[in-house]
Formats: sequence, C-alpha cells, structure tokens
Amino acid sequence: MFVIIGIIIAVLLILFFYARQTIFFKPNQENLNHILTEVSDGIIECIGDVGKEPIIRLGLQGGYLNPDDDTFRLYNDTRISYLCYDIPKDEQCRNRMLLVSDMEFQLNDALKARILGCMPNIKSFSRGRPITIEVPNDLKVKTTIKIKDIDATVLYSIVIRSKDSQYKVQKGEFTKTFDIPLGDLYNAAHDIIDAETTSGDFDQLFYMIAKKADYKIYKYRPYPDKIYILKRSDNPYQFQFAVQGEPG
Amino acid sequence: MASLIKTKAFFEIILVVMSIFFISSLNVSAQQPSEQSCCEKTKSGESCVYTSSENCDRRFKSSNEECSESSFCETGCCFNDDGTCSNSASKSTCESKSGLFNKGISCSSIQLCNKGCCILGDNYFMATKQQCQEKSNLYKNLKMEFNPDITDEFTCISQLQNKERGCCVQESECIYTDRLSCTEGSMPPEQSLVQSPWQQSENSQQASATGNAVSPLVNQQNSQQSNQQQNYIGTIFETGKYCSQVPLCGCKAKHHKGCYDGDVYWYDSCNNREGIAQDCDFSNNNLCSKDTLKCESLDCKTTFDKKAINGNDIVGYDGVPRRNGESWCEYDGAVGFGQDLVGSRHYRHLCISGEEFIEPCKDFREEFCLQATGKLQTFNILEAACISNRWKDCATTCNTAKDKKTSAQIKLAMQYDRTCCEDPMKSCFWSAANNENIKKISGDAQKELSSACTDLNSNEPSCQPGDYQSSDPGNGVCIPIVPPGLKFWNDENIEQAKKTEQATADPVKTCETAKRTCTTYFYKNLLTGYDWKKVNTICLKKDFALSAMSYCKSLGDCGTKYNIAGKFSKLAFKCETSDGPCKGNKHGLSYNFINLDWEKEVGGLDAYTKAKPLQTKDFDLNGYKGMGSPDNPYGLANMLVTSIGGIAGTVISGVGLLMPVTTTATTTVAASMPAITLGGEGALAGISGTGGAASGAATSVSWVPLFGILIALVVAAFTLVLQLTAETDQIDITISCLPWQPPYGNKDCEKCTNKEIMEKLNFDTCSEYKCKSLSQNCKWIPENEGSNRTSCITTNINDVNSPKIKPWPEALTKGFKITEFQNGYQITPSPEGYALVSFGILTDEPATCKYALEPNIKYDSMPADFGDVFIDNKHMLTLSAIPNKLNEIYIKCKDANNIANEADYLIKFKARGGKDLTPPIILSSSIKNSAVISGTSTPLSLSINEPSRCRYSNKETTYEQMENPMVCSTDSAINSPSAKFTCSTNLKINEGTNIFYFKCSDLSNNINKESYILTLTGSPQLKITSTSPSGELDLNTITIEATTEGGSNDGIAKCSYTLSSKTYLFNQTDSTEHSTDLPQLSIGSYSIPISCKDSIGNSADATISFKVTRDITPPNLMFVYKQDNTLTISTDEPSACEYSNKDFAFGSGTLMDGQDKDHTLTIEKTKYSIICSDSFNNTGSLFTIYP
Repeated sequence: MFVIIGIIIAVLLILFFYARQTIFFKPNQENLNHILTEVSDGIIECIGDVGKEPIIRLGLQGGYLNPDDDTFRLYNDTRISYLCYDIPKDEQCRNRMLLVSDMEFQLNDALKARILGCMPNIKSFSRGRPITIEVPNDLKVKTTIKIKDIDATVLYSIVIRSKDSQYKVQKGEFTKTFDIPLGDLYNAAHDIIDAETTSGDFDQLFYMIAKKADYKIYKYRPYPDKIYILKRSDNPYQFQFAVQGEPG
Repeated sequence: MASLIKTKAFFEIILVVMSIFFISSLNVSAQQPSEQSCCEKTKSGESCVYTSSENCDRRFKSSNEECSESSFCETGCCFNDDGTCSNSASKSTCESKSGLFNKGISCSSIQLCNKGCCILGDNYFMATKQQCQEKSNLYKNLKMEFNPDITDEFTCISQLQNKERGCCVQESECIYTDRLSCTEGSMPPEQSLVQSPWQQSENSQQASATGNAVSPLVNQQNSQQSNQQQNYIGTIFETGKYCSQVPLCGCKAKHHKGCYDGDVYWYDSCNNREGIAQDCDFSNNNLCSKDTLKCESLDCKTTFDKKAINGNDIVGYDGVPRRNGESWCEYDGAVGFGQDLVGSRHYRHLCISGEEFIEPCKDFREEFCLQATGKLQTFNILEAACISNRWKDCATTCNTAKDKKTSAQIKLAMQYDRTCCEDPMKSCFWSAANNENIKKISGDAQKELSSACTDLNSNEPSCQPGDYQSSDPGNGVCIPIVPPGLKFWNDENIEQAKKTEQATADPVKTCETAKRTCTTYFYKNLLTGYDWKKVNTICLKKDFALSAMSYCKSLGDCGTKYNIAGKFSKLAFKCETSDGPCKGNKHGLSYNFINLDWEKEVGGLDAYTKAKPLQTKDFDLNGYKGMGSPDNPYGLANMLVTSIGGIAGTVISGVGLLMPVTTTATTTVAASMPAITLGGEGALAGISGTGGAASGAATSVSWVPLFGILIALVVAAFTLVLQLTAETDQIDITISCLPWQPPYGNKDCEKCTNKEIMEKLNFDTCSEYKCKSLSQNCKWIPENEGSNRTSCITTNINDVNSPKIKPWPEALTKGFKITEFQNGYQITPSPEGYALVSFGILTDEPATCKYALEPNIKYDSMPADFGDVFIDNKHMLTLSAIPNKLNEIYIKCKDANNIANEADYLIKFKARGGKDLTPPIILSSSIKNSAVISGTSTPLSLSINEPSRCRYSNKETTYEQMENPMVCSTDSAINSPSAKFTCSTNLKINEGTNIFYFKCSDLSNNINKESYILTLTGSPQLKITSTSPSGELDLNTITIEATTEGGSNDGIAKCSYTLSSKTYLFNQTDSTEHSTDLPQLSIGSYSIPISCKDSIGNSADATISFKVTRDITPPNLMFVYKQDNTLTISTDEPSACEYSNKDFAFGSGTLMDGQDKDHTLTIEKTKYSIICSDSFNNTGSLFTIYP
C-alpha cells in the first residue's frame, strides 16, 4: 500500500517538475535568459572538454599539430617540431618562423571538428515549450593565444524567441578560457630562437636568472640536435621544440 | 690501298679514343638523381624544407642544394605582420606569411625590430612599435605610449612602480592602482593583455585568495557600509592611500600576505596590495616563496654527487650546496689529453632557484665543459660553459714537423706548429719536450747515437754536439685537449647512418695520423770487436709501443682505452715488424709487444676515473686562453725516437765502400757516402732529422804538403779497413693506430642509463655513442630515445635463445589474480562478458610480441601485436571478454636478434554471460580521419567490440534520429576476444568537408551517448580540360597532348594512352601537362583513349581523335630525256634523286641536281642506277638508265 502511495507521489513529483519546465513554462525575458545561460554553459563545457587535448599536444609538438616528415625530431615518443633548421657548416640556424597566428589557425581547425562532436542539442531546449530556437548551419571557432591564457571562442549565433515573438534573447559568441600560458612560453621560445639564429647557442642560466626564475628551461642534446623544454614555474603546461644540428 | 687502310685505321683509333673521352665525360657530367631537395613549398604547405624530392610541390621551385644555399630560401630578417621580427628567416617562408624580407642582415640592424617599452593602460611590456600598436587596436579604451629609449624589461616594468598610486574607488569596487588607470578606466587585471612576471604573481595571489581578481564591494560584511557603497556612483582617486584607509571601501588592512615583485607584501581583505612585509633580495638569492609567503633562499641545498664506475669521486667539488646562478662541470671520468673514456660526455650543471639542472654538452665530445672561478659579491662561485671542440687541426695542420727532413726544417716547422697549436681559436695543446721522462729517453738515445758516431768514425753533422737536440724545450707535438669521440661502428640501416654521419671525422683517417714506425739499427766493425752494437734500441722496448699508443689515444677514440663502463679493450692494437712477429730476439736484443699488460701499463682504471676539471683563469665564452695540463709521460717520446732514429739511420747508412772525391757531386740518395776531403774544407752529406734521405754537396780538393799527404793516406787506409770490415742490420717496428673497438660478450648495455641520475634528476644519460661504447653486443633503439623504455639493449650475435616469458601481475586489471601454469597463466575470477580486461607479460630480454587465438601459429604469421610495437621488456594488452567462453590468447615473442619463441605462451580466462550494461565501443574505421576521398562515394566499415547495430548522420543527433542505417555483422558466435565486429556502408561524399556522426546500439540496447566522428574531405573531380591534336594531319611524327585540372593535387596526375590494344604511359606526365610522341602511323582515322589518375585515385578519361592523311607512296618516274650531255628525269611529285654506277641504297649515292620534280645529271657513263625519295621518306625502287 505504502509502496504504491510512494510510487504515485514520485510520479506526481516528476510530472510536476516536467510540467513546470514545459506546460507551465512562461516564455518571458528571464526564462529565455535562463535557457540561453543553460545553452551557453553547455557549449562552454563542450569547449572545455575537447579543447585541452589539442592545446597540450600543440605545446608538446613545438607549435604544430601535424608535423610533416623531416620537420621534427622524435624524442620521448613525441614528434617535436624543429623551429630552427640547420645551416650546414654554420653555428647559426635558419628560423622556421612559427607565428602565434599559425598556432591559432591550427587550433581553430582542430577545435572545430571536436566541438561539433560534443555540442549540445540546442533545439531540444525548445521541446515542449512555447519558444523557438534559431541556430546557424555551421559554426566557427576563433582561438586567441594570450600571454597567460588561451581563449577559445565559438562563433555560433543562437536566437531564442518566444512563440509570440514578444521576447527574444540572442548570443553569438561563447568563450572558454584555458589557463595555459602558451603566449608567454612562445615569447620565451622566440627569445631562444633569436639567440640560436644570432650566436648559435642559448644560455638558459642567464635567461632564467634574468627572469627571476619564472621560467624553467631544460635543454637536452639528442645528437646532433637540441631540444628545449619550457615551463613556467607556476604552471605545469609545457612548450617544447627542437633546434636542428649537424654532426661535427 | 695500303695508305687507305692506314688512314682508316688511324681514323678508327682516333674515333675510339674520342668516344672513350666522350662517354666518360657523359658519366662525369651526368646528374645523379637526388633523393633530397630543398622545397620552396612542400605538398603540405611547409616552406623551405630540405626533404625528399617527392614532397615538393611542383608548382614551386626546388633545388638539390641545402636550403640556405638556394636563392628562394636565402636567409635574412623577416618583419612579420604582427610586428615581431624573425632573425635568419628564409625568404620564401617570410613572404608566404606576408612578412617583409630583408636579405642577409640581422634584425638588430632594422629599426622596426627594435623593442621599446610599450605602455598600455597600466600594462608595461617590451615590444616593437608595431606590436604595441597592434595591441592598442584591441584595447581602444586604453591610452598607448611607446618609449623606444627603454631597452630592457626591468626598466620598463619599474616605470609602473614609479607611478603615483592610490586607491581608485569606482562604482562597485576599490582597486589600488595608478591615477591614469583609475581615471581612464583600465580593465580589471584578469583581462590584462600582457603582464610582467611580478604582476602575474600578484594577480595569481589575488585570484587564489578569493577566487576573484578584485573583490567587489558587495562582499563586505558590514551591511550598512555595503548599502552606502551600493548607492555610490562615480570615480574617486585617493592619492597615496591604501584602500583599507578609505572608509568607503570597507577593506580591512593587512589581512593576508602575498608575493609581489619577489618580495612579501601585505594585502587587505579586498585583495589590494599594501605595504611591504618582508623585503627579499634576489641578488642575495632570496625570493618570496609562494608556498611559505616568506623570503626563502634560492640556493641549492644539495647537488648530485656523481661517482665513477669504480666508486671513485670523479670530481671533488660536486655534491655540495651551490648558490643560485652557479654552474659547474661534471664528467664521466678523467678528461683531456687522451684520457677521456670512450662513450664519455661532459655535462654542465646549473643551480637555479633551488633546483639543479643538467645541460649535456654535445655528444661525441664535440663540445667539452670548461669552468672558471668567478666572484659573486663576496662569494667564489664556479661558472661553466660547453665549448666547441675545435680539434681537427691539432694533429694535422699543427703537426708539420714530422714530415720534415733536415734539422733546420724541423726546427722551423716546430716554431710554426707551436704557434698554430697555441691559437686560442683551436682546442689544441702543445705537449712540450721538457718532460723529465722524455729527457731521459732522449738522453739514452743520444748516447747510443754518439757511440755509433765514434765507432763508425762518422763526421755527420748530427754527430757533433750542439746540433739538433730532440729534447730541446721548444720542441713538442700538438694534440687535441679533449680527444673527440669517433663513430667506430657501422650502422645497421641507412636512415640511422645518416643521422650520426660524421662527414669529416672519419675514424680511420683520424687515428692513422698516429701510426709510427721506428727502426733499431745494428752494426759491428773492428772498433766494436765485431760485437753487434745497437742504435735507437728504444724501438724494441715497450716504451716505444706505449708512447705510440699514448699519442694514438690523444687523437680520439683510438687505440687501447677504457670505456665508460670501466672495461678495457686492446682490440685496436696492431703491431708489425720487418722481421715478422712482434716477439723475438734480434742480435741479442729481445722484444715482445704481444704480451704487454696494457691495463697495468696505463695505470689501471683508477687513473681514468678521477677528473681534473678543465679550467681556465681567463674565462671567455667565445674562446679560451691557456690551459693547465696533467703529466703525460709518453707524449713526445714517439716523436723523439723517430727523429733520433732518422739521424741514426743516416749514420748507419754511411757505412760502406769509400767513393771517389768529386768536385760537384750533389746526391740525394738514402745510402750515399760521405764525401771526404783531403784536408781543408769538405762538405759532408746533409742529415735529415727523420732519417733516410741525404743530400750530398760539392766537395773540393786542394793540394797539401807531402807530410800531410802521408798522414791522410794512413787515415784513409784505416777508414777503408774499418768500412770494408763493417756490417749493418736493422729492424722496423710499426705500431698502427686504429679506431677503438668495444669489448665483446658482456651485459653492460643496461648501464647506458645512469639509474641514479634518472631517479634524482630525471635525466637520461643514454645516447647512441655511449651505448655502442659499452659492448659489441649493444644495440641502439632510436625509437626509444628519451622515453622510459630501454634504448640500449644487449644483443648477442651468438645468442640462440628466444625470449623467456613470464607473467606481469602489475598489468592485470584490479580485482583479478593470476594462477600460473607451465608456459602460461589463467586469470580468475571470470570477468563479465564484453568487459575489458587488461593483462601483461614480461620478457627476460627486450622483445616484440604478437598473439593469435589459435595455437601453433608462427610468430611472423600471428595477426596482432601484443601491446605496442616498441621493443621492450614489458608488454600489456586490453581485450574484450567473449561471454560464455574460455578466452585463450596464444603469445609468441621475438628478440632483437630475430629469434622468436617456438612454443606458445598461453593466457586464458573464462568470461561469464553476464548482463551487458556497456554501450558498444567503435574501435576504428577503415578510413582514417581527415582522409581525402576521390569520387562521390566511398565504402566504409567500422570495427566494434561487440555485435551491434549502427547508424550515421551528417549532423549530431540521437541514435534514433540518425537517418542512415549500416549493414552490420551481429554474429555473436564469432568467438574472439579481439574479434572486430563490423558495420559497413557506402558514404556519399561531397566536394569539401564532410562530417559524419556514428552511433551504435548493442544487442542489449545499450546505445552510445557520444558520436564517433569522421571528417572526410571530398576532393574535386579530376578533369581533362584539353587534348590535342585533332583534324587531319600529314605529319610523320604525331604528338598527343592533354591537360588535367582538379583532383586531389590541383590537376597533377599520371596519364596513359592505349594504342593497338596496348597501354603506354605518356612520356611527359605526373604533372598537369602531358605529352608523348606516337610512333609513325599509317594513313587512317585514329581514336586514342587516354586515362588520367591522381595520387588518391581520382580518374578522368578522354579520347583524342584525328586523321592521318600523309602520303605513303614513293615518287614515280614520269619521263626521261637526254639533251646534249645532260640527262633529265621527271617524277610525279617533288623528290630527291640519287644516282650511282652500280646498285646502291638511297643515301649512299650522288645527289642529282633539282629538288622539285625535275632532276638532272651530266652524262659521263653509259649506265646510271637512280633512286628517288620524297619528303615523307617514301623511297622508290632502283631503276637503271643507259643514256
């Protein structure tokens, strides 16, 4: 008997909550904003889920997600890109010119494919509610690599209207910020490449001291190349790259 | 006739000779196809890459030279469009990124590249002017300033601190900042574009303290104050006040501490910085610690104390505390002057902020570590650097004296050699002759020489005291300070050989410079009592072999040496004598170079495991001046004995018959006689210091009184008797210097990685050079380099044992256990059906392993890898358990010697039926993600771990809403834990990007929540846009051509044509333009099908149609007539006609006058044979005319 009563109460509660979400849903500005926030959170969560892996891989592979043959050194199972190529019989090397925009373009493509796979079903938010949701056919991704972090912005214009068109909310950009100091490490890498192209070597001791030990720079020498691994002392993210050498 | 034959023969000889030259020059000038090229652009879009020629995009340039030598990839400064500058950038790369290229100059000479202090609101950072402008465009509300006069970061950032600061009270927040930022409304710190290191730490402290960069006023506890704040509108800047001093803000003073600019500061409860709590001094190695919020020392409290293989302390100064910023050298053993262990390397250690870093110097000792003592305030610290080892000239360019013949030449050469050797830009050491040991050896040799001079009554100049003294302190020999490592092994594959190819450090050539030959001379005559006397006996003593080896070792990895594992190898010692074996007795002098106890002679391992560091007083990173050196007892001995031996040789070779006096004799013969003068002047044969050649000089004769003649005659007679009764002999000993060879038959390969350093400093010391030095059996695995897998493994060329397999319990999924039996184990308890189970095996030697589901399959035929493909000792696999079945996995492994197991190793487990609650897993697809597809559709199959039904769609949606079902094998009777159930379909592909979403549902209706996404690119269709020829052709040679467009590679394709049922490739193809010459075709119509295909299979077909209307009939004779002395013939078409008096072939006759239809000849004979041929090479038959 009590079991049956319990089941009935549970069902009623479920119906109540469902009805509240649908039948009793008022399509006012506040509720529309609430739905937009839910959608936005879903998109940002999706970006957060899929965005970290390519960013980490970009750092481990020296700024290139898919390095070509003869442009990387295999070390510790990682294809570490050369950012400076050997000039025969010269201590200096030839700058490959990795730019921040190059990395941003690669991340845009990589993130787009992944984000498409985890995007929430936005139109399902209108199910059972007196609202319409307009979404574009395609989305764009814009990555901005800053000093301390990386912004991954999905450009995807969503418009939520009440069915009577009295209320409307819209949002076109959804940004997730990753606490990854890629820009900062890139600048340090640029300084290293500058030294390698000018004098053929880089002294990490003086550099780390000058920067008050904010960076940790490890230098490995798998013959005949060099590998630099850069980290900030307050962040575990790693940017590493290779400088091509030649046998003595 | 004879002359004709001669002429012909002569002509033929000339022809043959010329053709030889021609063909050989063809060979010389013929270009070998180059495998590697510099590509201006590769197919994947990279620019200026030196790679395989196949990777080059043919629309751009490529060159067989290195990129830096090609015009399109020459280097210079590139001013990028984001305002940064790239030094030594390639022209093509710069231009492809829209940069401004400045050829051949450094960016420091370009004003645009000069950095200054960029001020943007309250952000201060170093940037170029354009960079500063670019940033300013992003933050238009901030005022931008650029100060080019500030060129260092520290000065730039300290501008911030000099600004007038105070509490900025705004609508809902209080921020401690500068006036400008407050009045212009700068962005909150978390949105700062770029921050100084100190700003970053401040912000992170703020962020970590409260979770917000700035605490809004609404967080205040005092509600009354809060109400007041919420009612406030506007901006106030309270100059010189902390926000805790502004009642409106309601912030509590000195609430907590934080790090800022390396010091400890107070922060109020709103997270605004206040006064300094503890002033740390970075120059005194103190800095604010984020953990303790106190000034902590940055020094390294302990450092790694490296021990040698025999437990010796290599250097006495390591393992001690180090100051922040200090660096020092570490070695693997003794360093310099031939002592470096084979496989050893130098390292530079650093102490930075309490952490010890290792920077290895370049391998093969192409760099060595040099250190000096410096001063940091009142402290003495070490400073070290890795310096390029410029050793190549030491034993060659700076050792010219060894090739000189006369003592004068030797002396001069020595001076040059010493200057050359002591050049600070070289890494050489002048090993001088003032060593006591060398003096003793030299002294003994000189004594023997003097004795010979007396016994043989020689007047050689070198017999006189005061001439060339080999132990002259100015003399010496030049050797590398640090002998280089050499590649003393042959690579197993070409790719690996390319990586470590040392083009100029040929080990054989490097070592053979130290090859030494020494000759001991024997003589006897009346004065010696006919007992054998010896000169230069050092050659037969072990001292000579030791000195030869000492010099040999100093040149590199040559001769007899210890390796880094402490194993001695004498495999590279080679001795030869002119008498045969290197052991024997010659005229009472015994010698034995075969049984030398090398290890004892060189001082044992202990002598090579203690390093005296390479140190210089004048520390200069760009060069070095002056080096201390340890003793080197045998360094010069080998040179000295050679030089003395040479002199002795000349003396000994002077023994023989007396020659007549000459007036103008000048001889250069090894065994020439000294000319004797009868009193007065007389020049004797000149002496060469390295023995052998002698040159005579003119002598003169003068008359003397009679008494003098008598005495001279007596002396001459005596000398004659001496020389006639003298006998000589010699023995040559040659000690070769060969590249060092590692020892055999040991298991030292695992010592390549120093486990202690790996544990304490996470640094792997193993390299190919070190690995190969440990043993002949060591194999280098390049794929494992830098990973935690073994990169140096033991292989035994005589090893006949396959790897031994045993269980690896740690790899087993939790909750299971192993029950071992012979040659296998069982996993219990039974897992659920379709559950993923992980398990593993260990092998006693590095191996690769495979498995099958049936027994007794040979290793090479096994279908799947057990674990990954790397050679390793540990192997792990994860499989899905087939329900209601005994799952059996049969495993075999193969070692580095290619010896595989014969017997299977079995792992088994029984899986229960169980309730399947897990959705299916799509393991893989038959097409790789991001693949480029040709055509409008492509078959696809997915591998799934269990029987399922799958669907797909072009948009992300639920499984039920996916429109396209796939065809799946749901046969759960396929009994295989690794069985890949498949679902297949035919995907429609559009041009451009195609994204497909796949979801599956298993037989228990468990459905994937997340889609398996496949992105494919449909390549544009390949098209043949034009063909030729067409219409009517009357040519002999017909060329067919085609042009292609589209496809996966912008029209680049391979085309072929079919003629007479045979298909041929176009001669010019594999691009967008295709052409080929057809063989001669007869008259008629032709439709030649052509087919083109690109690299991914896009194809296009077309037909080339044309008609051949070429004339194929020869000219016909129309009429013949004779007029006066002229014979005229007419043909029916323009032609060329030839005649002769006998039968001939067209081409070998005499051409008749006239090219059109009429042809004439002057009648001289009674019979003419004529042949005519038209312009289409239709030749008629011969006809005869009797005029």
